[in-house]
Amino acid sequence: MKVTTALAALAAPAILAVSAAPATAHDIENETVELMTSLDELNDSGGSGEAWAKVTGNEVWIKVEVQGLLDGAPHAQHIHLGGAAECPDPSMMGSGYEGAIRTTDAIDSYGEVRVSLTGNDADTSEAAALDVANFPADGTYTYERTFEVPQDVAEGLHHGDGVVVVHGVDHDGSGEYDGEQMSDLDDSLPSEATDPALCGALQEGQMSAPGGGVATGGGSTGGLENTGLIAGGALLVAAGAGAFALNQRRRAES
Amino acid sequence: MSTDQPGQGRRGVLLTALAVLAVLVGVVVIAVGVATQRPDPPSPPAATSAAEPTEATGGPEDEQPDEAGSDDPADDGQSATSAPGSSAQDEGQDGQETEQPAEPEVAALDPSEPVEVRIPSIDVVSPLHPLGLAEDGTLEVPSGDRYDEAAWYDGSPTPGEVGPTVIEGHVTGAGGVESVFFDLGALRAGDTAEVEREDGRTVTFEVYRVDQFAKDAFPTVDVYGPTDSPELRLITCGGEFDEAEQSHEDNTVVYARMVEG
Repeated sequence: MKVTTALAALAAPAILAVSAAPATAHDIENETVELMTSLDELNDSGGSGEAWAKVTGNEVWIKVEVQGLLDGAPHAQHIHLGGAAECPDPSMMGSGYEGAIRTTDAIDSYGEVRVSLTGNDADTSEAAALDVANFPADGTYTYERTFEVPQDVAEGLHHGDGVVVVHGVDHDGSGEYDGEQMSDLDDSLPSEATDPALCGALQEGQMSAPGGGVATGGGSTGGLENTGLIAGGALLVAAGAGAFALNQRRRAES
Repeated sequence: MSTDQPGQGRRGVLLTALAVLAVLVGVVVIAVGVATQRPDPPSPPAATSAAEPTEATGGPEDEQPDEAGSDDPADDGQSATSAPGSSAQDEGQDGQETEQPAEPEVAALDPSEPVEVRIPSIDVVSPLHPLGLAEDGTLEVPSGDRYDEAAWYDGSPTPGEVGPTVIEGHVTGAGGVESVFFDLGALRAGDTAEVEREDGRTVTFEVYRVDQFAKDAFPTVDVYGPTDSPELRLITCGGEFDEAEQSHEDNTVVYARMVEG
């Protein structure tokens, strides 16, 4: 979190520089680029989400929010680089279950895995692409981590070439990863475990986005804010009733 | 003594009348006090059930997987669902219906800071001042003498530039007194907001979506993410008031796109 704060502070002046000139190999060091994308479903995964990243030099902070994927199953998530920096057409015919798109089917669109978005301080390189134990294992989750990437990956991200892909689709609705077909990435895993479920091409942001919600409320409208008026009215009623009673008594006495 | 009697009698009647009057006035005052209890700020209708009056029940976004509708022409469908039937018909008079299928093409403007925002349908006219990010990365909010004025996030594009211009305002002040954006949640697709710039130009934006999000599920990319044309985000608080946290649980966000400038 400390890093996030520092990055946010850096981001405001840096963003001007970013929009002024595209990053080149030598000038990314002191530059923060802010990247965003919505994550759209592939393979009718039923999921949705968004990714938000800030990259300064080789340091990457990223937050990924995902909803609606298969619960209780690991979802490998990566940043791909080296393709056309885009997501495949969701309706493209793939080599998977009933034409499903498998990871390698769309490699021309998003390129190869260059960053593995693992948790638990695990390796974030492509070597950890199928580090199943360290990926989120819920259908809905928020992932946030800061880590370093190699120079060429940093440059690709600064150029806005990164594509976030989240994997794991239960094509047959069995509630788990299974099926005849094995993964095109690892033949010990069912293809369902590695088929792409969500995809978003990171785009350069148009501002340094504020974090979280906005504190634009001062007080509740639920309470009794007219207490003065109500108390005054009550006082008048009491005084009037008292005076009336007193007067009646006095008249009766005299 | 005897001379006093009639006077006392008259005074007695007078006193009685006064006492009765006091009671009556008191009752009226209480009634007014209770009746003018401030209502909760309005909420946008849930995306899927525009007809129903809405409580702040949380997740319209759950029902709308394709939130931004960013890159497909389904935007029209979205505007239609977020507009309750009645107001959609009202807008029809202005030729709204014919404009909706094709997004109006407007040329982006050079930067110029905003100085005033006007939202005619909810009677808002407010000067604007620039605010930035707080140390924790959250958006600063209007305070002090300018508490009840709307503010422009100075990290966001100026109105008319490509990207989402961010303008925020309080929904309430201390004790629940209404503030500048109290009625923001009552805006509907087709309503307009005008932002005047330092260079004297006024940019008109048309609302295409009004939504309410739990603050802990704020869709950052959806609200602040890049757009292809000049857009506007109006933000305030909404939903239930959390007494422990002393804040509203939700944010109300109005999405609009430039139609004239």
